Amino acid sequence: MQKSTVLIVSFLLLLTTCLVASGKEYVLVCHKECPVDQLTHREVERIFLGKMRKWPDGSGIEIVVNSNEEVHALFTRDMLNKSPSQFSNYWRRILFSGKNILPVNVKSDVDAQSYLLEHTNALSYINVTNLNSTVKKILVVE
Amino acid sequence: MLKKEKCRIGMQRLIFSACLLCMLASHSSLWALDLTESFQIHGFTSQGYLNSSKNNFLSDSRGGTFEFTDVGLNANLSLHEELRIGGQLFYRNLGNYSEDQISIDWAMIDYQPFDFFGLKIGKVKMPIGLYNENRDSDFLQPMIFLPQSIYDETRRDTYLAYLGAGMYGNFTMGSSGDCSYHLFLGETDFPSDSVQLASLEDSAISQIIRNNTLPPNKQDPALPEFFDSVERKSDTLYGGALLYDSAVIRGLRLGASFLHAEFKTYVNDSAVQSGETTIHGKFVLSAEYSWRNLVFVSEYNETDRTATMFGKVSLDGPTQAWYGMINYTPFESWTFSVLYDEFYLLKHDKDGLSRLQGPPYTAWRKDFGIGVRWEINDFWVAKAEYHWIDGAAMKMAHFNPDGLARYWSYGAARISFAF
Repeated sequence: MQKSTVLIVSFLLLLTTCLVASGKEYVLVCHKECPVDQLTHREVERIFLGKMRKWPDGSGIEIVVNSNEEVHALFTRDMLNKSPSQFSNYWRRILFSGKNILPVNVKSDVDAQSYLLEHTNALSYINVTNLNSTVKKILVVE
Repeated sequence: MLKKEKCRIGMQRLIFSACLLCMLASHSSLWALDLTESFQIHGFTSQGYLNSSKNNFLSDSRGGTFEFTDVGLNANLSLHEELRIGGQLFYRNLGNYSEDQISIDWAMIDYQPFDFFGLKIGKVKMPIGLYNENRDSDFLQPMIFLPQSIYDETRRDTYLAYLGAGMYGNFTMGSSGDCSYHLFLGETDFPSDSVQLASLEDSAISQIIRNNTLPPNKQDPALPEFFDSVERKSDTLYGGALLYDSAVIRGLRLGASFLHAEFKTYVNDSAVQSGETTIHGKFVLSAEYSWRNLVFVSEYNETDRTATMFGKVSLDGPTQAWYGMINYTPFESWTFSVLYDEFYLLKHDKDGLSRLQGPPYTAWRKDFGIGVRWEINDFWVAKAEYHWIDGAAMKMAHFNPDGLARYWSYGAARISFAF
């Protein structure tokens, strides 16, 4: 009786974890012709903090902040070690001190993918479940 | 100015601020005025209340004042991915300081062909310490006032921005992290209502009066008989900053910045300079560490300077300043801060024993402060803080002509809107 209870609880926990993971996992995406296939974690961090502004071929990187709640917080915490609020204030400090303009901001995965379709150098992140063949997935390595 | 008239103007400003806050609040998106992908307009406004006990702080604050308003509006145009022009207008009302003035906060051409190399030409925020470049955007800081020992509001005009050229960039150090640098050369401008200028005026007047009271055969003929005006001109100014972001210890930032500056003083529109202030070297060492929902910050500063007026040395030697601050964010929108801040006018005379221009306690200022910041949403921020102070250094005499108290305190509250 106890064994079966443990098994059921374990199964439910595993199921919940899988559902949460599949629903909230993000993937880094760019235009199909963007010049990279993979980036290191540090490179992603430097790009989204405005420190690395060029692809290896010398063309400029255009970052696209996707404020879709399903992935935004997960992305900023996981990749940039910042909460969404810290990330927003980081860029506003840059803006109001005259160092740069704010990155492009979109509200959904659909908007992000639409933007990437028209901008060869743009880079964003979307929910993995919404990934389709119009954009290229970028692998993040350590 | 009559008290009634002053009150009326104060009320007008308050209504103006309230209207501006409401007007800006009608925008519903943080990125609302991104007119195109390459042209953006953003801005902010803050309305505060300042109250102090025993001493006035930056304004006539002892009875409480709403004359504590900031408004900023900036526009940026990216002509190319490597080339941008932009500028920010800034209005501040803080008592008689920066009153009714709209000034250019920064305005520049920015060209960055490589990550490791860029050029800025124009009026550019000076990179001193971790926070000087953001000193006008208090809504982005945990507390209303930055630690005054290093970010002294009365010296804002000296350290806000340089007019000239700067070279900057960012480079990776592999798995160790990355470094950014900013070197600059130029000058600064002093608005007519600068506290620094008012302080020079006080110094010139007192020396002229003292000279006039002497017997004729003992008077210094180099001094004018009367005072009419004072002007300060920036001569040489250069400096730089280095900032290291660690990848080994995530959340750790270390910084070092340096400044050298020379300013000349002219009394009564004289072609010959009457005085000079030389900042031989100002350096700030900085450390910031973010760990979970805590941020620890500490900075150390010394400013070695010599000031003369009519051939007499009024100040000579290095200041010493440091602070430690902890910011705790238990929830996403709430931050609680605690600060300890120390400043000494002369590093080698911390007790003020050689001080002639005032009581010994005008040689230091020790500040213990607590604050709370509430980020209401993406646009609105409310803050409040209270400080207990020992000492009256940093131009306090300018706001307290009737005398200074050693132990005093001040509190401030502010609401800001930014888009």
